[in-house]
Amino acid sequence: MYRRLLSVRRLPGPACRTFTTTTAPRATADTATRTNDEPTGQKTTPTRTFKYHTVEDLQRVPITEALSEAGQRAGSEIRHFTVNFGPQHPAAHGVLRLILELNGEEVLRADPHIGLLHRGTEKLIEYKSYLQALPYFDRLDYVSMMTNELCYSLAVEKLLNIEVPDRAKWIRTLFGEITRILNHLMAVLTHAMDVGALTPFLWGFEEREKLMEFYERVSGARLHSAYVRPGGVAYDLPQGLLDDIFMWGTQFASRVDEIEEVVTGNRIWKERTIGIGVVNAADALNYSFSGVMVRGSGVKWDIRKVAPYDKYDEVEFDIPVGTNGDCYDRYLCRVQEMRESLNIISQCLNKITPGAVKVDDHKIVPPPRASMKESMESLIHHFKVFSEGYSVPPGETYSAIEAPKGEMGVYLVSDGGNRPYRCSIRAPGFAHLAGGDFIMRNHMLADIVAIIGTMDLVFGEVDR
Amino acid sequence: MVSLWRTIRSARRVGLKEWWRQMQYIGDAKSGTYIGIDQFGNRYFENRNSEEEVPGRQRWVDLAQHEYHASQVPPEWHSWLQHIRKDSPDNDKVMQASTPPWKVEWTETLTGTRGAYKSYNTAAPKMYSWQPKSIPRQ
Amino acid sequence: MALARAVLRQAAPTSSTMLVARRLISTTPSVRDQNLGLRNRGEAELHSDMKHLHLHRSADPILFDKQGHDINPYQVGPTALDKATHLFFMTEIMRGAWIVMENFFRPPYTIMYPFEKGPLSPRFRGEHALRRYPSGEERCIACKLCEAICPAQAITIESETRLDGSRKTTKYDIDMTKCIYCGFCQEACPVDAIVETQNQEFSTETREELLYNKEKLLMNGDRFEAEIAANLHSEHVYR
Repeated sequence: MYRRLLSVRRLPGPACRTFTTTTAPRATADTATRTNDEPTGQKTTPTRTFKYHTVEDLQRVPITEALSEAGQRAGSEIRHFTVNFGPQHPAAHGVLRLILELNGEEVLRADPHIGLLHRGTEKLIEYKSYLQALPYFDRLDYVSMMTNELCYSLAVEKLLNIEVPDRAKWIRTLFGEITRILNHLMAVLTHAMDVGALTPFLWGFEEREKLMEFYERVSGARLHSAYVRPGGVAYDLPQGLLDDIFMWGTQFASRVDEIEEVVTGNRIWKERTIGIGVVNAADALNYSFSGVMVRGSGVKWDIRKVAPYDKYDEVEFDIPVGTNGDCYDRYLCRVQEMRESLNIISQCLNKITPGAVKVDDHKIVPPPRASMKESMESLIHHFKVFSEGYSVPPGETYSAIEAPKGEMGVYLVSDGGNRPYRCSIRAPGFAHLAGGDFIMRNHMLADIVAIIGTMDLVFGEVDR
Repeated sequence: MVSLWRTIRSARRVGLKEWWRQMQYIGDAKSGTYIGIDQFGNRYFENRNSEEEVPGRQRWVDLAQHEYHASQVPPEWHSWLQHIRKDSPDNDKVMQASTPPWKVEWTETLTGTRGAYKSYNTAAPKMYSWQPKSIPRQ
Repeated sequence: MALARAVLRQAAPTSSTMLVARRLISTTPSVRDQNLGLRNRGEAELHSDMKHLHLHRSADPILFDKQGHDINPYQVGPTALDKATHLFFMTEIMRGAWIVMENFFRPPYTIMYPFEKGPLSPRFRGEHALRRYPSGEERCIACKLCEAICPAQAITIESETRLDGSRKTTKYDIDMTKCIYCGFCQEACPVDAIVETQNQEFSTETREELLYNKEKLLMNGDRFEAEIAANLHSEHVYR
């Protein structure tokens, strides 16, 4: 009797289903909540009901007994287990905090909490001149830097109504594709690493190292290059860089082959990705997915093809499109895109023309230093560009490019001054993460990692 | 496996004592031509044979101090070591011509020691604290 | 486990079936796959309503074609013997392991920092320095262009006129913790006074040591002058 009182006192607490006492009070509790169609149904007065029931809390209950109880308690309320995924989780790709509602290991609801890397970029840009706003774009998607800059530069150029010289366009195309390889190496190989394949990740980072050396040689920074600017690019390519890019390109295809040899056919990788994170075409379009996330589902959509910018109308390339819309198809798309990028790079190397790399309007780009030191007019232009900046005619534009992750867009409003009135950034990762909930539902907890990897999230751009 | 051949090859070239020192500091067996020594006793080597060294490992420094640190390399050698300049400072005409007479001797980073740089104001202060002046009571 | 899944399927037919067994489908193109309807969706389905989005579930596998005949899922693709061979002898894993083995015999590409360092270019943007003229006079004329262009507002300048009439700075502070190393200051400087050197090894133990003042920047310039001038010489054609 004493024991029973004790258990009754202990049990009505919210979440504690404690069966630490012997079976006697437990039997009472069970019979109390059992319905009448129970074969052993004894009529006893209900002393208490379980308010909560967690599936995995099977303390001292035999599994057969727990299974036979499932779904048979009439008035029981089910509280699912809620777990925080991240922000310190290594597979969270930065600072993603996912709140997962779990039924055992099955995810019932995934609630992404973002904003841990929010820096207020869009608001800051409203207080910077058009040139000063440029370095902020490097820091949005910090594994595909030059495409972000390109997106912003194209928007400003559209408002300014200027056309950059051919060589600048070739350089932008060349480095856009180098950036795509940089990004896809990171995306594919961290994805592979998240589901357990560490070795190809190290090979990929060797290639990334070489590519970042190209970045460094051309711009002076390995990551945040500030190279593609409104009106062209910052400097001409240094002597011998194109030769080195060619030399790199001759061996990169076999590196991709190696990575594919290890990963693509591997049964563990296939187990972890095939049929995981299936997005059908309708969902992908409705959630405004872009890039590989929409192409993996079978939608033929690539801004480089449908609205070519720079020199993409003068190079030949194919767009890989998936069929099943699962993680595996998106992986294959990314790998194939790396090969296509390599193809574009070799075409750029062949077709690049000599000439100027900036527009010759010194109200927009600063004059060369030699003339700045000699000519008074150039000096005045130099001072105007670096102090006041340049005024952009009033207007608004949305210019989008095919960034490696998807459609990166900049909506730029100018009121005629030297600072943007509004700069809204459309980051692909944000839309992908917003669709994360419906993709992750009814998957196992371990598949969440694969889905985050396939969405190719970088929190610089998601949080902005 | 490759490292084993590297080790044997380099140890035969540089001698066991030097090889032991390399393993203690660099952590890998290396052999190449001696390029020079700087004012701190750091020795610089180069091996441009692409069969033996991968790019990025062709130039290296044997730092003199036991408590080694990357900032112990003076700027001229730093730009040679990082492949910014093709020639070593001893042979680099441009570098020698651009060395001013008032060049200040390099010191390594002194952070964490008493010699660490402390920031201070270089301009004259704009505000002065009020110095009360009391007139002595008559 | 299969039994538990079957139970699940009966108990909750709408919510829990999505994850079951889809991953076991072979990736080789098969008739069943084409009949699943994943490949050629109608145009109408591409514009479905949002309200349906959370209710969708994968289609049940189609076992019969439109005429009611049994679909043989194995009529295209590898034979069962092939698949069994690959399955039991782990061919794809062996091939992957072979590649890994090959890499074991390649020269290691780890760069042993700080003894070896990767290549840098003369354009590299590292620690800042204030330069002097060959006569020893400091170059900075306090035009404050760098202060104006700095996107992170890391530079603070105060100036005064000297007795000889030249305008010089009394305060030139760079908050290196704010600096984003974009290089705009050295591009803006009309007299090549503020430059970013190739030095990247200036990490400190306290943040306070990164608040550089004019003396520190000039000292950097005095130490790095040979390197800076050589770099400017090799880069002058591009600038």
